[in-house]
Amino acid sequence: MTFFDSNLLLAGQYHDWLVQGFILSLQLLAASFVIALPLGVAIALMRTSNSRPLCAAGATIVEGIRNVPLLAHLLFWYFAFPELLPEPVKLALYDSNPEFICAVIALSLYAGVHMAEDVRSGIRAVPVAQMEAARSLGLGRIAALRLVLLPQSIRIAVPPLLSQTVNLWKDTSVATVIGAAEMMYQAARVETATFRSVEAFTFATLAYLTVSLAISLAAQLYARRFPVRT
Amino acid sequence: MIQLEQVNKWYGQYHALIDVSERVARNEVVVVCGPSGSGKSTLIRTLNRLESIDGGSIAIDGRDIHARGVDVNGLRAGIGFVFQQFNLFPHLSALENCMLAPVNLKRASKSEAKAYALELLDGVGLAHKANAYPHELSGGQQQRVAIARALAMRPAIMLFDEPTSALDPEMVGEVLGVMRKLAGQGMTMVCVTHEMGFARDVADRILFMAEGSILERAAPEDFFTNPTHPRARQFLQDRGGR
Amino acid sequence: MTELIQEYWLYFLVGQYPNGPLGGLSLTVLLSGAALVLALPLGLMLGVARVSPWRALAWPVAVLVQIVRAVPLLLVVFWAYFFLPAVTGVKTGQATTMLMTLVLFDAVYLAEIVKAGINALPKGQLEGARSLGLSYGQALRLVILPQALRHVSPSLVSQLVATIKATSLGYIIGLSEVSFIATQVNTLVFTRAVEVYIVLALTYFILCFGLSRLAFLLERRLNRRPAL
Repeated sequence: MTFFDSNLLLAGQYHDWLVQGFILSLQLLAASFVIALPLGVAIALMRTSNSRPLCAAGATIVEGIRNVPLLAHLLFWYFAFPELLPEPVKLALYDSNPEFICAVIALSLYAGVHMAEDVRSGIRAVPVAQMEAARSLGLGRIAALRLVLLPQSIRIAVPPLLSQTVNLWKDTSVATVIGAAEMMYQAARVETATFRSVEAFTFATLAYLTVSLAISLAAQLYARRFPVRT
Repeated sequence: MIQLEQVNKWYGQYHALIDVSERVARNEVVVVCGPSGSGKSTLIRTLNRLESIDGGSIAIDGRDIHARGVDVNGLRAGIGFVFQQFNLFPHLSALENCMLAPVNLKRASKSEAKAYALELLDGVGLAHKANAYPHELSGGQQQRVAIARALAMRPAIMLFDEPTSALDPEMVGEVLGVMRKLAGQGMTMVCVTHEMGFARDVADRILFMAEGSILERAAPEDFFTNPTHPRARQFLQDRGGR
Repeated sequence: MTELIQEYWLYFLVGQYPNGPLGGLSLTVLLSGAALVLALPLGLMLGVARVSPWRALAWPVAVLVQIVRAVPLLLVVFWAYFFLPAVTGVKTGQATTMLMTLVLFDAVYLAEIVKAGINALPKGQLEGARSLGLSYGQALRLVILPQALRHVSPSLVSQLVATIKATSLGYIIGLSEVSFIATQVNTLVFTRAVEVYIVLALTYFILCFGLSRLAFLLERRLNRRPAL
C-alpha cells in the first residue's frame, strides 16, 4: 500500500466526489457572500445612524449573531427554523435543497455581521470633517453619504472585508454538520470509503489554501492599487 | 579613552558619517553640535553600538569595540546612555527603573542596588519621587531619573543624545544642572546638544559637525568667539550667537 | 421552555458525568480555558520568533502561521483525528484531539497578538534596555513583554471567546460538548427543536457576550492610564 496514491486524486469516483465537494463549497461561498455584503453595509449604516433605536437594533443584531458559534446557527436554521414555517413553505423547503439553503442563511448572517463591523470601522475612520465639508457645500445627507463618506469608507474597509471573505470561505466547511455535501463532507466520505485519509485531506487542504491565498492576494493588490490617502 | 579612527557609515546610498576620527580623553567633557542631519546622533550612537559602522574602528579603553568575541552587553553596561525621549520603563517606578539593570546583570544585590539608586535619585533631586511612575513625572523629572538610571551601572563614560530637546523650556535648566554637576565630578562625557550656554560653560572641547564630518574642533572660548570654518560661523550666526 | 430546562439542565451542564466522561457546557468551558492556558507559552514563543531579527527563525514560523490561518479549523481537526492515529498508531480520543487542535489554533493567533503588542511599543524601550547592558532576552523578559502583554489583554479575552466558539466543532467528531448535547436533547424530545436551539444560542450568547464586555472594560481601563 503506497503512502500517497495520487491517482486517487486525479481520476475516478473518489476524485469526482472531491471535485463535487469543492464546487459546492465555492457555491456556498458565492451565495453567502452575495447576501452577506449588502447585509453588512446595511447593518453598518444602522449602527452609525443618528437614530437611537436604529443604532440599538443594529448592535443587538451584531452581538446576538456574533456571540453564537456558526455551528449552533447551522443547527438552528436546519432543525429549528423549518418548524416555524407554515406547512406548505416547509414542504417546499424540504423538496428543494434544504441543506444548501439553510447553510446559506446561516453563513450569510454570520459573515454579514462580521462584515458590518469592518464597514463600520471604515465609516468611523473617515474624519467627521469630511461629512461636515460635504454638508456645508449643500449636499443632502444621502448624497453626502453616497459621494463622500461611503467611497472613502469602502476603500479603507476592503482589506478587512477580503479577510472576512477568507473567513467565510473557511466557514463553509462547517456546513458539513447539517449534511451539506461540501468539501469536508466529501473528504470524510472518501476517507470512510477508502480508509485513506492523506489523499482526501490533502486535496481539501490544497483546495482551501489556493482559494484563501487567491483572496488574500486580491486584498494585497487592492491595497497597493488603491492606497488609503488621508 | 574613546578613540575613533576613520569611522564611516552609510544608510543605503546616504553617507552619514565620513572619515570621522577623534579622541576623547578621560574626564573630558566633549560637546558635539551642528545643524540637524549632520550625523551627531548617529555618531554618538555608534559609541555603544546602537548603530553599526561600515568602516574604520572605535576603541574604548584601548579595546576595539567591534572585535570578535566582544561582549556587547558588557560594553554597554560600562557606558551610560541618555536618550532624547528618556525611554523610561513605564511599568516600573523611578526606583525600579534604576535598580533593574544592576540587579539583573548581577552587579549588585537588591538591597545594594536599592541603596545606591536612592542615593542617585537624591543626587538628581528626586529622592521624594522614588516610588512614582514615569507617567506621574514631568518631562524634566523623567529625564533626571533617566540620568540616575544610567549612572546606576557605575559607567566610566556617559553619552547624552540631545537630552533636553524634548523638554519644555522651563525644565531644561534642571536637567542641565544635573549634567553640570556630573561634569564637575569628573565624569567623561560626550553630549550632543543645542544648548550653547551649557557648552560654553561646561565643555572642555567643542566638535562641530555638518554633513557627516567633523569640521571644527576647538575649546569653547575659541569656538564661540572665533570660529574658523565658514559652516561653523554660519551655524553660530543662525543661532543668534547664544 | 421552562419544563425543558428543568428536565435537562443537568445533562446540558455536565453531560453524562458522573456516569460517563464530562460533557456539555462544563466541557466547553474547561476545554476552552485549558486550550488558551496551554497555548500561551507556545504562542509567546511563536510571537517572539515572529519579531525576531534572525530570519531563520522568523520565516518558518511566519509560513506556519499563514498556512494554519488559511485552512479551516475543521480540516485541522480532521487531520488530527483521522490521519494522526494512522501515522502514530496512537488513537486519541475526541477531547484530546480537540484540545490539541485548539492549542495549535490559539497559539497561532496568540502569536499574532503578541507580535502586534510588541511592535506597538516605542522602539526606544528596547534601546533603553539594551543601552543599560541587558541582553535581548533580558530586555524582552523584563521590559518588552510585561508591557506588551498588559496592552493586549483585551485581545487575549477575545481569543478566549473565539476558542469557546471553536469548541463547537467537536460536535462533528462526536465530542459531547454543549451543541452535541443540545442535539441529543432534541432527538430525545423531538417536538421542541426551536426551544432547544434557542436555549443553546442563549447559553453561548451569555457566556461569549459576557466575556466580550469584560474585554471592552479592560480596554477602557487601559486607555485611561496614560503612557502605560
